[in-house]
Order: sequence, then structure tokens, then C-alpha cells
Amino acid sequence: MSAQDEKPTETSLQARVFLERRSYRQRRLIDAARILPVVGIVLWFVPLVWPSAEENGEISTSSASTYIFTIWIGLIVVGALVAWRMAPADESPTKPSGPMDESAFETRRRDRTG
Amino acid sequence: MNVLIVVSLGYVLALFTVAFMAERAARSGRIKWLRAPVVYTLSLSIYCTGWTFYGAVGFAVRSGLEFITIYLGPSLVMLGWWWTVRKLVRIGRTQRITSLADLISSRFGKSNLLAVGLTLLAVTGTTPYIALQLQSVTQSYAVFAEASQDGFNQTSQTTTALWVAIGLALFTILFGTRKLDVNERHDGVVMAIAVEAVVKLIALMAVGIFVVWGLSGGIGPMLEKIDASEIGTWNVSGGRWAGLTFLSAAAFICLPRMFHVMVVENDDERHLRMASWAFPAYLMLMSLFVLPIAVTGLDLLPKGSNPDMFVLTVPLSQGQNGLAMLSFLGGLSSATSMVIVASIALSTMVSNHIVMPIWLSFTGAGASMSGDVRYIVLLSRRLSIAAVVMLAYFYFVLSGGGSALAAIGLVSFVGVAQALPVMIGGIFWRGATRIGALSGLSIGFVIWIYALFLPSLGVGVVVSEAMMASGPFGLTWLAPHALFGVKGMDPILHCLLWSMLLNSFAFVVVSLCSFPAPLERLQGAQFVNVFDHARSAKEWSSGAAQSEDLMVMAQRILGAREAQSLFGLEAARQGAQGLLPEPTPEFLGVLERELSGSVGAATAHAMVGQIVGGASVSVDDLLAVADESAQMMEYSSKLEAQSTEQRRTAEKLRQVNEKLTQLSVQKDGFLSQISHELRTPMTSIRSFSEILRDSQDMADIDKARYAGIIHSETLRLTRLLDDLLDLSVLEAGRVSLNLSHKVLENVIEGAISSAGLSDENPLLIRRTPAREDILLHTDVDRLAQVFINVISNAQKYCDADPRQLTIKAFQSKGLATVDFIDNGSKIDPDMRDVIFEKFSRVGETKAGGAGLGLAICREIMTRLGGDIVYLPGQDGTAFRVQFPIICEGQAA
Amino acid sequence: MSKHVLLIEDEPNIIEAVSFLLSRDGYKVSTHSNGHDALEVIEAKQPDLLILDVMLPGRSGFDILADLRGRETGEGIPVLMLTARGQTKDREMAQRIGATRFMTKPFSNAEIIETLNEMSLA
Repeated sequence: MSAQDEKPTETSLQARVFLERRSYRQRRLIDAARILPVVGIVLWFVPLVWPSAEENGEISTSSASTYIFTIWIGLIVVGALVAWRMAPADESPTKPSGPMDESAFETRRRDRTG
Repeated sequence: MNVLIVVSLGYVLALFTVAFMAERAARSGRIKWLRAPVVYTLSLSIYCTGWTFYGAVGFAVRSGLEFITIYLGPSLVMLGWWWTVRKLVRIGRTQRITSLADLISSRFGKSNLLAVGLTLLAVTGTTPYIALQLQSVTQSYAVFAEASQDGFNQTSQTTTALWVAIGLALFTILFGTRKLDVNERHDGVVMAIAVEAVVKLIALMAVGIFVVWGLSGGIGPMLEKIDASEIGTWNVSGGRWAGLTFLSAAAFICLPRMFHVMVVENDDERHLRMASWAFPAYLMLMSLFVLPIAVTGLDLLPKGSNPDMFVLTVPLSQGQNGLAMLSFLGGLSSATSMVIVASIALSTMVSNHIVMPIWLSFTGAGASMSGDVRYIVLLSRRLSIAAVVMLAYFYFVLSGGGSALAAIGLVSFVGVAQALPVMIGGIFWRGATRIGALSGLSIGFVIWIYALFLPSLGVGVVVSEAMMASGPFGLTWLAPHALFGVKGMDPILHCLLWSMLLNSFAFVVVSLCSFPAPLERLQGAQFVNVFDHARSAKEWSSGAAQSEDLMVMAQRILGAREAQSLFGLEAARQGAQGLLPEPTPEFLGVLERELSGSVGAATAHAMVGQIVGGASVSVDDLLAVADESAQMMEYSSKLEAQSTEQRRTAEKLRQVNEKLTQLSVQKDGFLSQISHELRTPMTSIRSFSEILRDSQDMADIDKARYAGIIHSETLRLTRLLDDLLDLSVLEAGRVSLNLSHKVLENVIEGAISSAGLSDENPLLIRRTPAREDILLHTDVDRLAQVFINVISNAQKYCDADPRQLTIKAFQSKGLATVDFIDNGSKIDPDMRDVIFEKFSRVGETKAGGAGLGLAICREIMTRLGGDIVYLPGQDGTAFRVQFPIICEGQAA
Repeated sequence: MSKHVLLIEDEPNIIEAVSFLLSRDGYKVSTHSNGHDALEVIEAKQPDLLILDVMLPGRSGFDILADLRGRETGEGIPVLMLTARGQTKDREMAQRIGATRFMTKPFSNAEIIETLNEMSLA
């Protein structure tokens, strides 16, 4: 399967370099999209270890909500950035060897081993 | 008050207009702006229902920041769109999925059983939730009414709810079932809920801005006020924080209405990119002012006022009637959009998976009626919508509203979340099987019903107090809120934990242990590898992959050797190396024809289409499949009937054969029998006549005696010949009946006295003369002949001591029946058929007759239009004589 | 000394006719009319000659003869079998199991006397 990546094409060297850089960027964006919810879960589950009022906790509701909303806004901003940067790739999905190919392979590989 | 009604009606009218315009725009092809990513994102906001709009504040008053978990879960799901939602949407688009039930049944080999189960789950889980929306509308209405000092009692509350329900059903039917669209998309509805999403967001934010800047003097003072309030300190249990976040995330993708807007109504996968961040932003804004409103409400309003209505009561208490009106419209929007989409989603399921299959199987006929089907589908959708909304209305009325209903929100979440393991397993794991899915879902559903849903209706309604405390039948470990002895847990978490755990466990273990059917495996591969085919459809490698998949499928259906030779021939024709040809249209046509021989054309087309197109099973295809399977079922049921018929015929033949064999044995026996019967009297006659001839010195008295013997033996011979003649006449049908009137009692009487019962070995006859009072019109002499024969048979053969014969007569439906039952031994079952044949006698014993009696009886009874049969199951030998009271006179 | 003939036959008129004929010719006749206990009667009476009908109530003449021939006491008794069925297979059967003579009903009086005389001389 990895042979597919290295399959030489008729494109010029310059085009190849450009494509590969772009494809690399896209793959990292997908990584970001995948990791974003994990970050969200980890950060939003931090309150699990906070002591509650019944356990004589002293964490005020205002600071707790500030924490939660700050994370929320952060996640939204990162999500929007990722989605925006991803856009050009999707706009031309019919391209024969577009950057999405690799993601397709990765999905397939994951599915087969999973 | 009137203002409120006018505004509400105006708002509803505006919605109708929006929906109508959108439909018209869609029809004229101006679809682009209708289906913008932002519209998609806003349509997702039906997650925020009337319950969330009003209830979030109440939730915050009761449990502080815990309310926010309800928004965190969906945010995480959307932020993690690349994992799950993207795949669901892709599958939904390529497989033309119409509902959650359809998705899961499709994945597991189009199992209708699964679809029906999920539909029931969805209806059970969603109906109370719709009722909750009706309640939120009526409650908010009541708040206004109270504020304007109008009389507004419980009756008019239910009336309001009824009007709201009718209006919503009408709107949904109008815009939700306008046409039968293969894609199940409803432009008017989506546009309307997008508008409603904006209204409710603006409304809530307006109230929020008013309390923060208008009443509290900005953000800083507001935060201080929050910390000073009774919910000012972090007081959330970790279990509920994590559990409710998970629950809301699960419900977000499993709720029928969410699945509908997210997957079914999705027009373009790329819209997800915007929704992935914009929807979490929407949710964040929706929850931003919940705490401030809650705290302000606690601060300003008298103790004991309903916190669920703070969004309305806070502005009202400050005389901000316009703001309150806006807030009311926001709540109305939330409630109505939820009801509309939920009832569309439910009606799709109910109609596709319950009503249509039943209708198809009832009308049966099959292929020739595809034209009507569209109309029927629409009709069943409309009826389903009306039924769902009315069901919710009755639930609202019966539950009487109040807190019991408010608690149903999370309960409903846990219910629909039962579909999560199967759904996630189905799209990520090829090994998941139908049986596994059924097991998991059933267990989850049962636990949910038992441990959460029924108790939530109130203790004592379905589940008694004793049962809550100590479980059913005193099995403490089965107490609904303390399964397996886990006591003291929050009921929601408790049920969520056990149902999810056992549901997933059963699903995985049963899947591992069972084996999927071919269609299941095909669908499994389609779902799990949904990104493989579509991405690079034109590439050589994927062409090969397609051919390979086609071959795998063809081998399953045609058999390995046939499939390989078919593919090999085509590859050779194409000049390709090896066994795999290009999937050219010609080859696909050939393959489809080959497959259709085995599975039917529609199925073959669908299967090939799924692999090659990665898509496209249309409603028409499915209907054709349904028709085909109906025909196959019909055909196979005919076959079954035929083979039953054949079995029956074979059994009859076997019986006849047995009888014939017995008869031929009987025939041989009879020839010697008739010989014996003739020769015996002749022996005496010959002997005595010779004696008389040869002896001159014989006493007269001896002479007379011997002549007497000769005479009686001749009579015996004559009788035998008479019987034979009688029988042959009867058998030939040449007898003429001598019809006359006589009462049955007299016929029996005469027969008994003619039967010549001897005194030395008496036969006691028991009768009930009253029941024999039946006036007959028949050949009474022939009938008497039959009775005499039967009675003298009993006389000859009954071997009991003391002997008795019971004669029972009765009549019904113009037939007289006379049973003769003796107390002797019974006739062997294998002899019961033979005794009515000529020359047969039971056993080798000599009893005077030639074995013609019963044969004659049967012939007579046939002539009289009746029958004589052996009556099994009695104490001894028994015969039943049955004949018409009025003989039709078959005399020739 | 007169020979003792035992007649086993179920038809009363035939019993009467044969008894009459045989007693007139000097035989001592005893009769029996069913098959059940025929063997015991034969053992008890130890007749010089036996006339046996084939179709008897209770037990067929063939069975009785076969049993009789198997017994030490019955081995030597001459037996005349009578049948009304008139089939050759009955005759063969009778010969095979050891009947001395066989006769089909109806028979003439002279015929039966002659046969018995021959049998008693043999």
C-alpha cells in the first residue's frame, strides 16, 4: 500500500514537491482534527478531580465556568482554523491524486487492522 | 393575553411562509442558499429543545454547573467530527439511509426485526419527550396568563396543548410529507427550523444580556453575584459530570431527530466542516447566560417560584413585557422545531419499518402495484405523524404534566443511547453481527425500561414501592435502582452504567460467537470501509479492489468454481492477466444477470450497485426487492403447500395399498370360506339323504328327524345365496328403496326382537327410548336390516360377562345417529377398515355368518344416504349408524 | 373287538350323521366339538382312529395334528382329515404333517366307511 505513495507520476519535480508539501500539511490538519476532541475530553474532565462543596471544596462557580468556557472557546477557534485550512483540499475532490488519497489509505489501513 | 395569541399565531404564520418559500425556491432550483453550511449548522440546533431552553436554567438552579454537561457532550461529538459524524454522514449518503433504524438494519443485512426494535425504542424514548415540549409551551403560556391576571386553569392548559399538538401535526404533515423524496430531504422544514434556531438563540441571549448588563451592571458584578448565590461553589459529583457528558454525546448522535437533521437531511458532506466548530459555538452561546439568569431569578423572585420558568418570569417581573414575549417565542421555537423534526423522523421509521411491511404482506399480491405504493407510503407517513403527536398529547394529559414529565428528559436520553454500541460497532467493526446487535439492543432496552423508564413514571404506577425497595419476588439484587446490589447510585447513572455495560458486552460477545449472513458481511464491508470506494473510484487499484469484491460476492452466490470461470473468461476476453477483469459495464450486466438467477434481479442489481457505485439503493430498488421477496415467499409457500398435498396423497396411497394387500389375503381366505360355507351344509344333506335312501328299516321318528335336518340345511344354503345376491344387487346399485314413515324407536324395537337374542347367554340392551322419538322417512326395512345385523353381531361376538349393548340415538342437522356400543373386547385397529369388506370375519372363529353382514350394512347405508362406521374410543366394540332423517329417495 | 373312533368336528349335523354311520358299522364312537382342548381329549381317550376336521373353533385341525405327531402317545394313531375348503394346498398340508388319509366334504357315506375300514386294517 505504501508503494502507492511513491508511485512515480508524470508530473514535474516542482509539482511533486508542491503536492507533497501540501499533502503533508493536509495530513497534519487531519491529525489535528482527530486529536481535538481528545484534548477537549481531557481538559473538560479535569473538574472530575476538583473537590465538591460537600467535600469542603472552595472552587467558586465563577472560576469553574470561566475555565470551562475558556476551553470551549479555545476548542472552537482551533476547530474553525482546522476546518478553514482543510477547505481547499475538499474543494477539488475529483483530482486524481489529490491529497485526500492518503487520508483514504490511512482510513482503510486503520479499519483493516481495527 | 390576546396580544400573546396574536403574536404566536403571527409567528407560526411566518414559519409557514418561510417553509413555503423555501419549498418553492427548492422546486425552482435555487437550492444553493437554502443548503448553505450555516443552514445545516443551525438545523442541528434542534438539539436545544423547549426543555433545554427553559429547563437549563432550572437545572442550573438545582445542580449548579452540572447543567453544562448537556452541552459539552454534543460539542465534543461535533469537534470530533472526523471520527464518527463524517463517517455516519458518508454512509448515510452512499447507502441512502432514511433513519437511524434504517442505518442499523441496513448494516446488519437489512434486518427488519432490528429496524422494528429500534423503531419501538425510538417511539418509547421520544414520545414522552414530545409531551415535554407540549408541556413547556403550555406552561410558558400559563405564566403569561397568570401575569396578565387571566383565569387559566388546568382544563385550558390541556386545551392549549391540544391546539399546539394539532398545529404542529398539521405543519409537519404539510411540509414533512409533501412529496416522497428518495433522499428524505425537506427544504421547507429545514429552513423553518434554521429560522427558529436563530430566534431562540437571540431570545435567550437577549434575556441574558438584560440580566447581566441591565440588572447586574456588567460581567464583574455578575460573577460576584454568582459566587455569592447558593450555587456559588463547585458542587458536582465526578460521576455525574462524566456520565452526563457521555450520555449527552451518545444521545446527540442517537436521537432520532438529531440523526435526521445531521445525516438524513445533510446535503453536502463539506457542511460538516463548518458545523464542526460553529455548532459548538452555538451551544456555548446558548449556555453562556444560563447561570446569570438562574442566579438573577433566585435573587429577584420569591422563594418557591418555578426555576424552569425564570427565562420568562425574570423579564416579566421587571416589566419587560416585550423581552418576555421574545423569550416566549424562543421557547415556542425550541419546542415546535423539536416536535416537527422528531415526528418526521419517527414517522419515517414507523412507516418504513412497521406500517409498510405489514401493508405489503397483507396485500400480498406483489409486483404489479408499485404505482400505488408511493401514495400508500405518503398516507402512512401522514397517519404516523398524526399518531405520534397525538400519542405525545395523551401522554401529556395522562401524566398530568409537572415534575414527573420534566424528569423524562434524561431518562429518554438513556433510552436512545442504547443504540450507540450497535451503531458505533456497526460502522467501525466488520465482525459485528445481526444476532449480536439484536442481543445488545434487547438487553439494553430491557434494562432501561425496567431500571429507569418504568420507575420514572412514579413509584406505585407500574413498579410498586415494595419492588423498588427489595426487588421483584424479594430478589434484592434485582431492585430497579440497585441492580446487582449496587445501592445508592444516582438512578440515571446507575441505569446508564448497567445498560451500556451489558448492552455492549452482549453485542460484542454474541457477535464474536455468531456468523454473519452473506448480505450482512457485504453491508458490513460497505459500512466500515465506506471511505475506500468513493474516494478513488477511477483508479486502477480500486478497480481491482472492486473486481475482487465482486468476485467475493459472486463466489458466495454462484459458488466458487462458476464464479471463477465466469471472471476468468471475461478477463481472457479483455486480454487481462490473471482472473480479475475490469468491471466494464458489459461485464457488470453479465454478472448481474448471472446473479439474478440466484437472488432475483432487484437484489442482484442492488448488490452489484453497492460495490461498483458505492451507493444507490433507491426506494424503487428496495420496493422491487420487497416485491421480489414477496413473490419468492408466495412461490415457496405454494411449493410448501404442494409438498404437503403430495405427502397427504402418498399417505392415502399407502393406506389404500395396505387395504388392498389385506383385501387380497382376505379374498383368498374368502374363497375357502365360501367353499366351507357351501360344503358344510351340503355334507349333512348328502349324508342324511344317503342314510334315508339306504335304510329301509328306520323308525319313522328318525326319518322325520333326518328329513328335518336336511330341510334346515337347505334353508341355510338358501340364506347364504340370498345374502350374496343381496350384496351384489346393492353393490350394483340396482336396489329400489321402499320409503315410508316410521319412528326410530319402533325400528329399533323391531330389530331387537328380530335379532333372535337367546336366553342362555343373555345380552342386556340399554336404551333411552325418549331420545329415539324421531320420525323417519326412509326405507325402514333396510334400516332395520342394518340394526338387526349390528345387534346380532354383538350377540355373537361380545365376550364380556355380563354382556350388555348400549344403543344411543340422537339427531342434529337433519341427520339421525344411532350408536351401538357393547362392553366386549374391541376390534383391532388394523381390522377396523377390513370388517366392512365382503367375506371378512373377525378372526377364524366360527359364528355362523359368512362375513357378509357388515358389507351389506355398509351398502344399505350408502343407499340411504348415510354411513356405518366403527366408532373408536369406546369401552367395547362400537358402531355408529348415521343417516338422513328424510331420505332423498335415491331409488333408481 | 370294536375299534374306538374319536370324531372331532364342530358342525352338529355332521357329527350326528357320521356317528350314526360308524356305530351302525360296528365302531365305538366318541365326539368332541372344539379345537381348544382337543389334544387333551385325544390323550385321555386314546382312540384307535381319529377323524379330525380342519376348521375348528379355537384351534385349527392342522395345528392339532402337528402337535399330536410330535408326541410319543400320538405318533401311531391313524388320522383322517376332513375339510370343506376343497383346496389342493390343504391336502398337501395334511400329507406333510402326517395325516393318514384326507377327505373333502361333502363325501358319500360309503366312502367314509370304506376309508376307515382300510385305515383300521393297516
